[in-house]
Amino acid sequence: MTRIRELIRDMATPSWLPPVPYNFGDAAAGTLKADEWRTVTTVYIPIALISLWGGRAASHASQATANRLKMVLDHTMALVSAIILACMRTTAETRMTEYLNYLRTWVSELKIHHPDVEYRVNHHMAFHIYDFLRLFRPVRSWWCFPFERLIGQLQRLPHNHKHGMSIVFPMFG
Amino acid sequence: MTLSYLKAGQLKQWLGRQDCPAFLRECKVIFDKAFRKSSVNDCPTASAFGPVPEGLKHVICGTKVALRARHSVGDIVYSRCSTHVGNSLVAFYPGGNRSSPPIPGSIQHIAVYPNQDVVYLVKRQMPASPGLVDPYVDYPHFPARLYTNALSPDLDLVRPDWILSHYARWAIDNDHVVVLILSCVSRCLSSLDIF
Repeated sequence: MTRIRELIRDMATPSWLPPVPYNFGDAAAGTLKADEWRTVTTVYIPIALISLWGGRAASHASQATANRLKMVLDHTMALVSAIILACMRTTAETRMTEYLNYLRTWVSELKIHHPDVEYRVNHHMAFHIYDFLRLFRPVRSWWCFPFERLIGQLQRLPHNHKHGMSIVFPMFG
Repeated sequence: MTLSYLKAGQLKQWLGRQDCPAFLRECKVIFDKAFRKSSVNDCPTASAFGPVPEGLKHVICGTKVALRARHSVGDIVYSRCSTHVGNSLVAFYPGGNRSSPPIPGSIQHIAVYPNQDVVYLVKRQMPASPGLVDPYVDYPHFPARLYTNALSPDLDLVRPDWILSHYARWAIDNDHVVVLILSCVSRCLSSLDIF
């Protein structure tokens, strides 16, 4: 977690990349939004984990520990690769197939590397993204981020808590 | 209040006229910066153009050029590194040849020619030594690679349409950086400016 925070603090990024709280992981940082999670999982976490557990790192207590962490890293990177492939601007048969293969690998090995984790509905739903990619093509055309943003703008509009009443003439509300 | 509003309107109309004196047009640039959300692509005024700096003469052809801090293409803003390091990091195709792999580099200067053509002067991120083990190559779909911390001494002239995207850079140690090529989400899709 320290390495991830170090990256969030020190990495040079363009201004369009959604900012992530410096205290990521703390209760005080609050809940991340879906777009922020995408940034964390496709930018900060993979760079941090590979720098710690990848081939370059040689600071593990034993070779067995190094091997185990490398397997956990490979498992995590299967999910990261699946997310990157699913979010690409263009899609192709090979990319869709690779997405499915990475997702199968990640889900099938989840209990091996993380025995305490329970399967959730989201794991099943992620397989349907493959079907949607085939049906509707690149995910950026049909993902829900624009609608999430619109809902956020509507929620921030001033209102008088009275359904159907105008906020322009509150004296009539 | 109405009178001051009318006077401001008349001044604005006068500044927009073709026969407006040159020194008043210079004032308009300042007014625009102060009172409206100006575009970073506004044309530089005539006084902004000057002789090509000595250190750039071997890259820039022509006699006059204006240097600016940032430039936008679509909804993406590119900056020189002294203005915003993150916005200056770009992966580009040398010579516009898209069959070659993109090269990461940092924009040092943004130059505007008198005909409004814009070029970026970029220093390349130096590749890591061949003997170095790069742990990031194990993951072909994660576009991060190791480079050295240094930038090339030479400048590349890069046109805006030769750029693939921005990249993120993190110093993994004193000598090396991790370079991750990013894919931007278009703001017209990620936000709806309807209010």
